[in-house]
Amino acid sequence: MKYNSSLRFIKVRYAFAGPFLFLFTLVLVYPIFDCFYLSFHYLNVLYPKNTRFVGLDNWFSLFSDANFLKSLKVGLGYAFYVTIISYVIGLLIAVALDVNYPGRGVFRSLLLLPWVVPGVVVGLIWRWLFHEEFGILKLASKATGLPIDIRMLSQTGTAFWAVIIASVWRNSPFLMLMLLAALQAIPQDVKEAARIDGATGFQTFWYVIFPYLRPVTIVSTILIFIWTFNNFDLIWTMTNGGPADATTTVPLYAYLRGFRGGYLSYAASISVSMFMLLLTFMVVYLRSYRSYY
Amino acid sequence: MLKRGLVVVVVVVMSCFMLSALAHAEVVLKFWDMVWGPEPYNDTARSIVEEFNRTHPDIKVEYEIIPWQGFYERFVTAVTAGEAPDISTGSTAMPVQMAAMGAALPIDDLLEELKKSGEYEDFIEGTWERYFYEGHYYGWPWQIDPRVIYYRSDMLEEVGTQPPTNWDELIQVGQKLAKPEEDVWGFAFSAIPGQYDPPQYFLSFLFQNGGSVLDENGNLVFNSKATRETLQFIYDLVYKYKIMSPKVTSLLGDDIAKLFARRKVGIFYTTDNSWTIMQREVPESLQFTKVGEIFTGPAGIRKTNGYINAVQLYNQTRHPEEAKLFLKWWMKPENQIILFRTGTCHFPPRKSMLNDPEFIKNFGFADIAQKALPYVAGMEWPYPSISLEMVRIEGELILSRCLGWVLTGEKTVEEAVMDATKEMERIFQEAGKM
Repeated sequence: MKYNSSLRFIKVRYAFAGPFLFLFTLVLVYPIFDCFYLSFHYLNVLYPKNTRFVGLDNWFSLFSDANFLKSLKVGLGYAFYVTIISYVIGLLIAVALDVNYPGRGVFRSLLLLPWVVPGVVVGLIWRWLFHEEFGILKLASKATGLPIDIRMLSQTGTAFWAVIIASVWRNSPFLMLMLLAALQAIPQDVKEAARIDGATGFQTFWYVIFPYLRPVTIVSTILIFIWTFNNFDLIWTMTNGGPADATTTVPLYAYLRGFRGGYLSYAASISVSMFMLLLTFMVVYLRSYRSYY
Repeated sequence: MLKRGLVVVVVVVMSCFMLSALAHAEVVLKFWDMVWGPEPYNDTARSIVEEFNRTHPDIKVEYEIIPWQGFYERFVTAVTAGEAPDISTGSTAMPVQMAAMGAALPIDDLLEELKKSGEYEDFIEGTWERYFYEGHYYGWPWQIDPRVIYYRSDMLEEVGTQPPTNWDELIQVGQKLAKPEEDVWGFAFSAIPGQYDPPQYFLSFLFQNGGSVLDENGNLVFNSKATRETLQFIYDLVYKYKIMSPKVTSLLGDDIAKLFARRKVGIFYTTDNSWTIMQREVPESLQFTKVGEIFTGPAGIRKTNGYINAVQLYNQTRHPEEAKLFLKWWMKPENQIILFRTGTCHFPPRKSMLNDPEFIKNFGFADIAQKALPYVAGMEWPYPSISLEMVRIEGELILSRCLGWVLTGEKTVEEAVMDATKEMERIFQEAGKM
C-alpha cells in the first residue's frame, strides 16, 4: 500500500511537471545541444550543398579570428564596467532609500522604470539623447554656449562609454531593488550596537552592513554581468556595433557572421564559446565566494 | 431510435457545411512586400492587390508588409521553417540568395513570354541578367533605386558657384560652402555603421575612380590602388578639406536630409526619396533642392551605386501556377505605374514607364531619370549578375566597417584595405573561389 502510494505520488509529480519539462527541453535544452552539434559542422545558408562535418575547424578558426578576439575584449570590458558602475549606483540609491520619508514608495517605483523598459527602447532613447545633431547635449550646448556637445556616437572611445551609460541606466534599478531588500532585512539592533560602540557611518556600513550584503552582491553581480555580456538589442539599436567595431560585442559578432553572412555554424561556435566562457566564470566566481552564501 | 436519427441529422448537416466549404475553396497566396517608401506606397500596393482579388475570385492574395529591420532573418527563418511566402519583393540579392538556398522558383517561362511578346525590349539593359543563377532566372526586376546628388541652389548661389561635376569641383565647391565653426558642411553622406548606406556611397566613389570589389568575371579585386585612393579621398573630405562633418559616422541618411533641409549641408549624396524628409521637415527647402550630376571620377568614369530590385516566387508555394498568374498581373505596366506614380518607390526598370507624365512630374524625377539613372551600377559592377560573395561582403558590413575604420582614425587606409581584403578573401575561400 505504502509502495503504491509512493509510486502514485511520483507519477502525479511528474504529471504536473511534465508539460514544463517538455517545453523546457524543446525551447532550451534542444537548441543548446543543436548549437553544439552545429558548431562541429560547416553550414552556410547561401551554400547549403557544402554542408559537412568539419570537426574542430570552427574552433581553431575562432581562436585565430582577430574580429572575434576583439569582440570578446569589447564584450568583457563592457560587461565589467556596466556591472561595477551599476552596482555602485544601485547601492548608493538603495542606501538613500533605506530611510523612511514621505513618498518613498512612489519614488522607488519611479526608479524602477528603466528596468522595465525593453532594451530596444532604451537603445533608441539614448541614441536620441546622444544624437550629435539633434540630441540633448547638442541642444544644451546651443542654449548655454558651453562646449558640451561631445561626439558620443561617432568616435570609438566615446561610443563605447555611451552604451555603458545606457546599460547602467537600465541595470541600476535592478541592483537597487536587490540591495534594498537585503538592507531592509538587516536587524536594526546590529546597527544600533555599532552606533553605540562609536562606529562612524562609514565604519558601520563597511564592517557591519556590507557583510550582510555579500550574498546578494555575489548573485546580483553575476546576473548583471551575464545579462550585460549577452546583451544585443540595446547595443544594436544604439550603435549597430560601431563605429569601427568599437561596440561590437560577441553576440553582435555572432549575429553578423550568422545572420548577415549566412555562416550559421560559425555563429554557433561563437555562441557555444560564449556559453562556456560564462559558465566557467560563474563557477569560478561562485566557488571563490562560497563561504559568503 | 431518436439517438440514431440525431446522429444522421448531424452527419448530414456537417456534410453540407463541408461541401459548401469545398465549393467555395479558393487558392490563398501570401505576398510579402517591403516598405519601399513612405506612404502611400504600401496603401497603394494593398489596393492593387485588392483589385486582383476582386477580379480573380478563385484566388485570394494576402498582402503583408515586411519592415526592413531584421527582414533577411525573417525570410530565412520562414524558408527554413517551411513557411515561406508565395511571392515577395525583397533586397536586391534575395532572389539569388533564395535560389542558392534552393527556395526560389525559376521564372524562365515568364521571361520567355516577355521575349515572345516583345516586352522584354522595354526593360533597361542588364536588369533581367542580374537574376540569372545556375542556368535559370529567379527574379522579375521591378524597381531601380539609384543614389543621387541633391544640392541647395540657394547656398551655391550665395557663394557664387555652380554645382560640382567631378571630384576636384566637389572639393572647391565644398570648401566655399563649408563653415565648420557654424556646423555648416559642404557635402555629406551617411557613413553610419550597421546600415546599408555607407557602402553605397563608398562604392560610388570607388567606381568613379576606376576601382571595384569584383572584376567582370566575379574575381576579387578590392585590394587595389584605386581603393586606397578612394578611401584617402573620402578621409580627406573630412579631415583635410573639412567639407564633410566627422559626425557622418553617427548620422542616418534621414538625419542628413533634415540638416540639408535646414541649410546645414550644401550637397548631399543620398537616396532619391530623401526629398520626402526635406518636405516634411522644411517644406520650403524643396524649392531650392536640385538634382546634381553624378560625379565623374579621376578615372573619367561616371557611375553611381544603385539597387535593382526584383519580385520573386518561392518553390514552397503550393500553387505555382496561380502564383505566376498573380506575378504576371502584378507586373503589368498598367498596374505597376499606379505604384510609381505615388513617387515613393523609386524608378521602374521599363523605359516606357519612365516617360509616364504622372510619374515623371514627381519631385526631381525627370532630372534623376536623366542625370542618375543612366549611370546606375550594382554593387557587383562590372560583374553583370548578383554575386553571393558580394552579398556576404555587404551582409557582414565589411565595406561599411572599412570606411568606419578610416573615418574614425582607427586604422590607416593601408591597414583598412588589407584587413577588409583579408575578410573578403575568407569569404571567397569558403566559397571555393580562391
